Amino acid sequence: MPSVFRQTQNMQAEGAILPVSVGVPEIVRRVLSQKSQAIPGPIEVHALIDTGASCTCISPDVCQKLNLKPHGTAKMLTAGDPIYAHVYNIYMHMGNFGAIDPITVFAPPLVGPGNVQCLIGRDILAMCAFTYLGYVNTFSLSI
Amino acid sequence: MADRANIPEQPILKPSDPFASVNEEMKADFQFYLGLPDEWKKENQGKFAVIKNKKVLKVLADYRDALAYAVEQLGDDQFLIQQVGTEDTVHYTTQALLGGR
Repeated sequence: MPSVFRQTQNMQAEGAILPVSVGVPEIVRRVLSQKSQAIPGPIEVHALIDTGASCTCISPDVCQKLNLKPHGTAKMLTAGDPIYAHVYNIYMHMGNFGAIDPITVFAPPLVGPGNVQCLIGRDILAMCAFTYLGYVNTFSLSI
Repeated sequence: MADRANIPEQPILKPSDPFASVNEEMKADFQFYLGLPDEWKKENQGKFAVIKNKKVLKVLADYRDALAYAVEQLGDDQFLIQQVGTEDTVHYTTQALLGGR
């Protein structure tokens, strides 16, 4: 079972963050390739494992950098009233897990600053075993 | 009595637009979907409609099939894949954590 183990200085402050690579899904890469169009390379982002998120989210800024086109819209509840966010299909590569391609993600508008550009939600966690050992600042994710 | 002329003008609070972060084309296609007859929605409950320019291009049983169809027909373009009957589903996220840098 492929797993990733991470240890940080202060997981309470930083959260369970791991680097992931996101990019254009294979189904769209094929179309771009047939038309000899440039395919934006994958981007490394910091992803926070967020058991409070029902779905995986990505920063709209990252979608823009990848020149992704939205494939839908979804109603999302954040801090205030429900809002609609664009839905994208992306490719995601996490550690030694291999790629999830395509995966449908949501891109709610930005609120907070910070270095987290992706929230790994319960849609991905539904396929995983997630262990959070707060007293040793360690977590593991197996898929 | 306070001098009214010295009271700064207060901003008029408008209800926020829930579609503010969705582009006009997507908003139009989604609103087109919302306006489809209830009977059509009942017939296609749970299926995935591919919609573009306020037209239903195809309805498929599986999301991946709908995505493959849409990309095959429309290429690397914007479109709406909507699961019929799930328009009121609310997704939750810890949005305040998501940054842009």
